[in-house]
Amino acid sequence: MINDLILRPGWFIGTESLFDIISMFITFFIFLYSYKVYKLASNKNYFYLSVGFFSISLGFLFKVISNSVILYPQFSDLILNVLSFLRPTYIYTASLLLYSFLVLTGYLIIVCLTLKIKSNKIRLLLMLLVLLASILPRQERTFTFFHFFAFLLLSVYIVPYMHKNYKKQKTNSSFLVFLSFLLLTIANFALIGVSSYGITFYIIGQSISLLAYIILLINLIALGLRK
Amino acid sequence: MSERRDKLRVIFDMLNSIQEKGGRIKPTHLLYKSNLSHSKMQEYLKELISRDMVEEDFDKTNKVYTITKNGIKFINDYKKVKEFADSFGF
Repeated sequence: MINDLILRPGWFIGTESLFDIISMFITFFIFLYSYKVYKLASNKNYFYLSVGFFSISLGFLFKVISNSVILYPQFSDLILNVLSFLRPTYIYTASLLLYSFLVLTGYLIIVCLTLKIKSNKIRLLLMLLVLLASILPRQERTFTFFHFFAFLLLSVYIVPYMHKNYKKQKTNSSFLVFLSFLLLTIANFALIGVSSYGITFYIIGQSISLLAYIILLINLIALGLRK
Repeated sequence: MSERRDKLRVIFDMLNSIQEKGGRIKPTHLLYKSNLSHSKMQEYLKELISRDMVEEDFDKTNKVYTITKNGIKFINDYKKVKEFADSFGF
């Protein structure tokens, strides 16, 4: 049995996996749509946006893998049959680290778009920060530093930009995008509080995060259905 | 702005002008609405006809351009893509 590296109720892991699968598909759909926009409009910003959402989607895939190792030991046995040099703990830990790294990379790409950062040197520096935030030791089985970094990227850069954009566009879709990123900020804030205020905050944070991605999906569906 | 996006915008404006005129437009009106030179407009019209977005017809003796189903589809797709792009604001 693997020791869970995340401070959360055991019964919630299955539900959380479902949340992650839903979030993975939603971010994957946004990746596809952003890429379509890029191909049609030849606006490189939407290529980067698609890469950002692809990174987040891939991150969720790794989180699903890490949870599956705990939920279904036979799943890790299957992997170990092919890659015998691995241990279940390695799969679990590596998947969690990749999840942190890929989600933060996705947010960072969006930050680079909001700040219009073109310099590869600055991008590299920021990537190193993301890498650092992903691999920093976890305190008391919480991902405090990861959630703090995500909270920082969202609250300082992304949400103000999306709010400004909503004020400029004044459309339902720009409001939904702003609301979604605002909820992701609140979700990460709640997840920072897990170590101090208990695992209820974990459930609240994960639920708000799912809601944020569902709002992005609603926006996508509303645009798709519009005549 | 990229060159291609400008091109898409011009195509959208031309098709939208035709649609706003009830689906049929005279070349002189289109020239005025699309804000292009005569040669440029002919170039774009040639492309629109080849992509089956516009048809060339004759109303009595006058030449008119009619928007097709493909043209209407392009207008709708363009609006959706633009709204998606605007919702993120990049």
